[in-house]
Amino acid sequence: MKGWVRLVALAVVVLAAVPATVVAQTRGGSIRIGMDADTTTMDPHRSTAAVDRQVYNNVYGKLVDIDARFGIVPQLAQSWEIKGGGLVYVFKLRRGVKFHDGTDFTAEIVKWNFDRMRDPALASARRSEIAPVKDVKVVDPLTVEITLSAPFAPFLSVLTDRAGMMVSRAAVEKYKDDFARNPVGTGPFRFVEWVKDDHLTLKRFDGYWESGLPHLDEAVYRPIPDSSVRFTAMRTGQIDIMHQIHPKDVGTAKAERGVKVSEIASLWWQGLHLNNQVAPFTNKAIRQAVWYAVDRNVVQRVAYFGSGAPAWGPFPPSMWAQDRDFTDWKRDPVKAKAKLADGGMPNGFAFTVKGWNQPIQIQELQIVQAQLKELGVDMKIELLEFGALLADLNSHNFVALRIGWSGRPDPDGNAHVFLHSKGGLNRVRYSNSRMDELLDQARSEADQAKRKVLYAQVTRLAAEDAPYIWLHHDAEVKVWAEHVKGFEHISDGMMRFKGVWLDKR
Amino acid sequence: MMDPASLRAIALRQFRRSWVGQVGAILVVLFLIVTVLAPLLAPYDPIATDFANVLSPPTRTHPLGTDDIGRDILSRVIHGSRVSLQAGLFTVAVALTVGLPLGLLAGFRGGRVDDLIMRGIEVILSFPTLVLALGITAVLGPKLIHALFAIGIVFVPHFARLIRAQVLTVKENDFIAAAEALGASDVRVMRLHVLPNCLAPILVQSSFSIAFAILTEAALSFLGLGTQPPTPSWGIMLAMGRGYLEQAPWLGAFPGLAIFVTVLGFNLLGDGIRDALDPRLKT
Repeated sequence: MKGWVRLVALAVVVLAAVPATVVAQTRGGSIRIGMDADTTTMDPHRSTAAVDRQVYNNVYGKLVDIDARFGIVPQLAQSWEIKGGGLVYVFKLRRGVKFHDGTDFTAEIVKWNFDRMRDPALASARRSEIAPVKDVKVVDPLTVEITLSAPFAPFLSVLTDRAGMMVSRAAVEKYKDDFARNPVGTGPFRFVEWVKDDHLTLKRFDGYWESGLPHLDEAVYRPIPDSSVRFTAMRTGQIDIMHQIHPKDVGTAKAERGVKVSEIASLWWQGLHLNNQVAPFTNKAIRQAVWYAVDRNVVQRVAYFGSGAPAWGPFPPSMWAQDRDFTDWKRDPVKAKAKLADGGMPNGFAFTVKGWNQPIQIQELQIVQAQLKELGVDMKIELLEFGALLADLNSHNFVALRIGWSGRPDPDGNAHVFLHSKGGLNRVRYSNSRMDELLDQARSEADQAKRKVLYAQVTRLAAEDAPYIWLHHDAEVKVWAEHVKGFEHISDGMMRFKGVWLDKR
Repeated sequence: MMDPASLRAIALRQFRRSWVGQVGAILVVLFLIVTVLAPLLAPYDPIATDFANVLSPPTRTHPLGTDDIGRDILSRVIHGSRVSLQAGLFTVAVALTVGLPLGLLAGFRGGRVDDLIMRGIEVILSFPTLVLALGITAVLGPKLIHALFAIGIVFVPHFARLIRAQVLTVKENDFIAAAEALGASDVRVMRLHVLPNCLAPILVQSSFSIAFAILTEAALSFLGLGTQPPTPSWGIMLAMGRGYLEQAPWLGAFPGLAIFVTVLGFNLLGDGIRDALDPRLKT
């Protein structure tokens, strides 16, 4: 029921937003996108890298999507109904949707997609995301009913990402493991070619279900890992839109003629992982000492040039779950000293933090290093290449490690995996039964006001236990050339190109 | 045969005549003074941060400006010279320790021993220098000492080949045959008669190698495989400065200049020594 109401509300908003003088939208053209990294795989059910999602959002249709205000909006599912106390989701699918290979998108295909993600043999990264799914039933060719084992408030939000992306059954059966290089979806663009570390090209899908869309003929993704080089490519017209800009360049970008800059709150958090199973961070008081020793405002001002916001928990300012009344995260050397004494190390201690060998990360770590040094804590920095850093993180091979999280639209996705004792990304091996209870309760509660209260408790307990030292929430910044029109900037940072056109006159 | 003292006098005279060598010597001496007196010369602690004074352009209080977390660049450039000197000396020491005995042995013994050693050396030589150094540091882990060791290993073939070539000419001399005829052991002949006659080219090669080691350390640190922060290394400073070329060019310019001048100094000095010791140039 709620879905229908939202749909109508959305229609009203969209109609009201149409300007009186409609700008003529040009068909055709190719958009060149500057990326911070290359795509890792084209199979959304197997992807584990944030960068992949950028391409997927244009190749694959999803059951639902999010809008700029984090509202869930229809995509392949035209509408939905939640029944049985949040246990049953009934999706009405859009009629006449075709995959790029010409096959039909039906309820049968949706069921098959869920079965694929849930198949242990595929070892899908989506499996844990949709763990609460108990049963998927085809009601009629355009209606599918999904039953959960327990109420799971973030479910629709999870479906706005890769778990909701529908792949072509015919293509998977034809290409098998090679599907990752021969992707077929229902999105506005179809896959053409991918030359590793050079470019990935998409072409307009003429059979796309939204009439008149997309406007562009082609989208070319180019990985340019160095932020400065990427920005130069932007300024010299080699790319039309760029993903991830170093905060220091934002000012320059804003002053640049012919370039547009959009800065909104992101879903990210950055911080230190403290290994709760390795000395000295087995000791809560020592973790708390680090919590009070760092000055998050300095990190924001110096490393991020004032952009984004200081972080004292997993929820960024863009989320309703953020507890804005909480203040016990400011730097307090006296408290930090007291905590060191409580922990039996009044004169400080030494430890090594592992970090990614990237300018902004190095800068941030050195700021923390200087702040800890004032308390006699000697933090040594070991810089690694990203792959090596991830490997050490996943194998718990660290005392402290600095890394970020790109975030999920629902607060559950920013907290449960990291703070629950069974969380999939709880590499610090933090465990507190009270925390588990709060997180489980929050994800099964449908009422947002009640969830907000629970997440405030999560924030405070996490600050008290300090398994992570949250430092910063990045700003989500996109830079594009003035001739790029119709781009809608959304907090998840995904670039959706179906409504974009080029105005090169 | 001339007496050694007068040989030395000729070389010295020769060196004094070459302005190239002298400029090199002056730069190297300056570099050594800065290295030794670093704590006295540096106006600030090279790792002390001042978050209220980030990316400050050169001013009276900070003659070369401050970096991205408010550290004094002059102090960091001064202290960075120590990493560079360490890099130069340590790598040449590694290269000599391994390369010298190998070259001596190969040249003196010849035959199978020579074949075995030189083919092994050629294998190392077939890798591009920086790629080999990168590979070694990647395996050992990103630490300064590993990076230096890697550069040292990379230099081994150059020293080994140079020494072997020198030994080949030296060992044909009559005084070697005389020593052998008198019953001197191989080790004694190598140590007392062959080695001293190889010193000149080793000196020249060392000077060039120090310059190259400083560059390679800077390159490895630039790539994040050498010195770890906050230790000031010119390579790291250059790497960090690169991102601020537009906003704060002094971040990269000064460490870059320091690398340039130091490497130039050692190269000129090497040129000067080579010319001074070159018998063909003797007047």
